[in-house]
Amino acid sequence: MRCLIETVRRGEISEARDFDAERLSLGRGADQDIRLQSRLAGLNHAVIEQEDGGTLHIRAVAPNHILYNGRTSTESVLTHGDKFSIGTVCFTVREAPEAYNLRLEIEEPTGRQSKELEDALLASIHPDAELRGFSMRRTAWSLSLAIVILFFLLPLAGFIYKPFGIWLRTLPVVSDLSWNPGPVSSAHSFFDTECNRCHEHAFVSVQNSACTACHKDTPHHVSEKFLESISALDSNRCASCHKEHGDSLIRHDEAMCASCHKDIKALAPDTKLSDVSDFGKGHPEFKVTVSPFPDDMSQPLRIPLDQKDRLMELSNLEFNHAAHLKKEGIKSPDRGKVRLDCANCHQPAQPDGKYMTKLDFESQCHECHKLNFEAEDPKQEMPHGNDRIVLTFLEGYYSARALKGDYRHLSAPQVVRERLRPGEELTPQENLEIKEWAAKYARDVDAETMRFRVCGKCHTVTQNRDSGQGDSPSRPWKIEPLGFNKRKLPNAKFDHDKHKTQKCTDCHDAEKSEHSEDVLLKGIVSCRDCHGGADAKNKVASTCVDCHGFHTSPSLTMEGKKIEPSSKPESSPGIESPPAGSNASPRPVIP
Amino acid sequence: MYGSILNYGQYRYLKQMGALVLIALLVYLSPCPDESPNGGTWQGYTLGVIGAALILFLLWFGVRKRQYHRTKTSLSRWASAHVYLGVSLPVVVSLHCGFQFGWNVHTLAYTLMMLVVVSGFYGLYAYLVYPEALTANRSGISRREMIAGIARLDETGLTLAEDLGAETHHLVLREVKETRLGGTLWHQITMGAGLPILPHLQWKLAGNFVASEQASLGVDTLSPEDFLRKYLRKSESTAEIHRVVELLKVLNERQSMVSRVQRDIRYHAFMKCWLLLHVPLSCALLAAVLVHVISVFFYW
Repeated sequence: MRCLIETVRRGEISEARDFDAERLSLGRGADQDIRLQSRLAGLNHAVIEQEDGGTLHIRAVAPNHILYNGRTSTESVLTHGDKFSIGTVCFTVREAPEAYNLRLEIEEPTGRQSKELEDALLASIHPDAELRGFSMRRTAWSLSLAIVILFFLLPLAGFIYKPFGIWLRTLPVVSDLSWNPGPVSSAHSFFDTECNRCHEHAFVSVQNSACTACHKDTPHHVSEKFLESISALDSNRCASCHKEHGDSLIRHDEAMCASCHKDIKALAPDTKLSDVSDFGKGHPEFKVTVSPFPDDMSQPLRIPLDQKDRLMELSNLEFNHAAHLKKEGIKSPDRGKVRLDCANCHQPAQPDGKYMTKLDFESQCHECHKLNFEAEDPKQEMPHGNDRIVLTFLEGYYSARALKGDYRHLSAPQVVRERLRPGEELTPQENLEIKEWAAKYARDVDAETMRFRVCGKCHTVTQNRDSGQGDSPSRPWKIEPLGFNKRKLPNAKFDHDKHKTQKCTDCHDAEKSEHSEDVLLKGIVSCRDCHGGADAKNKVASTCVDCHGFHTSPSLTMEGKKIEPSSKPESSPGIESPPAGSNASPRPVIP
Repeated sequence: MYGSILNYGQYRYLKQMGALVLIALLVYLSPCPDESPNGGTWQGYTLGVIGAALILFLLWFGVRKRQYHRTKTSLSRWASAHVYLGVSLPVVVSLHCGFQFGWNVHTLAYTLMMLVVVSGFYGLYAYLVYPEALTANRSGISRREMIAGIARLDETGLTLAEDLGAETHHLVLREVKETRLGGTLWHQITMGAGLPILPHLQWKLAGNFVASEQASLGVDTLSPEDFLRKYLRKSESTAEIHRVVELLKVLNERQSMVSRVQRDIRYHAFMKCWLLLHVPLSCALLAAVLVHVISVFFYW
């Protein structure tokens, strides 16, 4: 049995002995193979022997016992990893090296010297115990490098090699999207992950070319004429006002507009604009856009609402608002007294509610305003909406009446006045007479209805001089086309839908208006009942851009391209163009 | 030194902090046309520059405290400035960003800054509270002296145990050998590394406890209390009982001393653990602030 006995002192092997014997004796006695320095150990305390099968046994010599793996025992098989103690000496069975049967580790009975014990305790504290398993330096470097790599180097690589950048944006965190300081405005949100559409170059602020790449047709701020005198409007960066990743793309502050508009003549001496500083305190009276020519809106006039003597809107329609809005109501032939209000004729047009619906004779006027023209035939009405066929209609009507006879009008010839008897036939001479009378009479009725009743009651009617040539002018009278402005304040945004809670008469002076030439808008004072300037208290704080646009040049795009008149979406926004093909007519002049 | 951090120079840096916060508030509240406050306005840039300068100044404290040769400005003055300007930092930075947050590197920098400041607050608390507790715990003797005391008690205990037989000696030796002071940070804080050494043994022995008959079990499976109780029950020698009582006194004194050392280590751990967050997060903050500034101007 070959044994390796190692003595361990303070964790280190201080002595190794080699034994080759049949049995190994352990005890306090001087003759023992392993001599134990413990007064609790017997002189011959125990022996270690190898059995025939090769297993090693330790056996205490009576009356001694050993503590084997913490249990009091007299005999045990030695297996590597086991611990046992004799007296104050501790043993550990280790795995035997090759050619050895046993390797036994003896721990010197430390703890007898306080210095050794103190050293052991000190060693247990560990010099850098507070940092065990944690390095501040390593953590600091790891975190810092992770941040630089994830949030800078990777996005940078993506910027340099675009396909990589596009791929990176599909991943969470590690792309230039992590640089996004705030959400992109909804107008641009359809490309909100394509940073480089706007941010084209590193460390260069967003250039105007990036904006006009899409906004090439956006009208310029002002017309070309004023752009020369206000060069700042052309040289500034779009992004200096239109800030992305923030609250709003559009600046709403009054101060920005007022910085020029409070003394606009200083910048553009030729302008017709008035100075404006604040809606509540420094805004001129509204100028309404009206036309001196009801059928031609190409040369509109802009007249302030406070210049009552000049204020007139010609529309080629006779209408008395006051009479229709009488509080006691008006008499309907079918329903008796009916009280009308504005909404009977005027409704905000959907979907945006900015415009009003078109007036409609059939549904709004016809109930009271019948188009009957013949006293003897009160139910017969002439057609509405097409003055060209009225005369033809009347000719046909009176020809038929004359052929039936018994039409007792003073101007009618005998053959018309008499009833045609059954079986009686008209001579060609009588036929001719009837035809001539019917044509003449139809023209008389046409002239009368056009000028004095039926048509002429509401419409402006003029004599058609152009068609007066020849014996039988086809259209002697003409109903002038209606000329309503769609928007009297085309340079302001106004939404009727949003003001539904207000009464129409809060802003429109309809109840007192007796003439259709009246402009019913009350003026800025009615707006100021509810709206104030940007700093208004107890009123709706309203800034310039709440009502006005800024990119409104009629002649120039932001890219510097001229807008062709034909391609203009609306030469004067909101003004209804005259109907195509309308004839020139004598133009009344606004005083 | 700890007391003088807060009141250095008659609260000089508290006053400076107040002035800085006031300036920051004035800048923040100055008119900013049509934009809610954010880092991109002139106010935002101004506060951003102040905030970045503050961060660099605060980080420099980490360098300065290691420059032992520099004595012109005292370290307590630096510490006082570090604490007060560190308190003003969250105010300045919150006003800089206009309280706008998102899932981006900018808010990451803000979050790191807040973590650093919060850990710094804890550090200040620890530096104000634990030195006193530490002094009281030591009551005039050093940790080294306490450990030497434990070792002396161990020696006495082992000698006494040897007289009581191999089993008692084995048990006490196990206690001695397996006693660990300190350990991992968790062990230092919870004081959980040391073996529970015969806690409250004396009063338990005074009770009418009937020892469970665990004769067949080894001593390692018995708690020291049970073992000694069992031992005392079969003991008839007055001298032996006297030795056991002596041993118990020694072991209890040892336990009390070990607890004191562990408390000492624990207070030190409390005073150092926050630095494990504060320092690495400060470095991460510096990296995040750099990335924040560069990225803002990269996509200007």
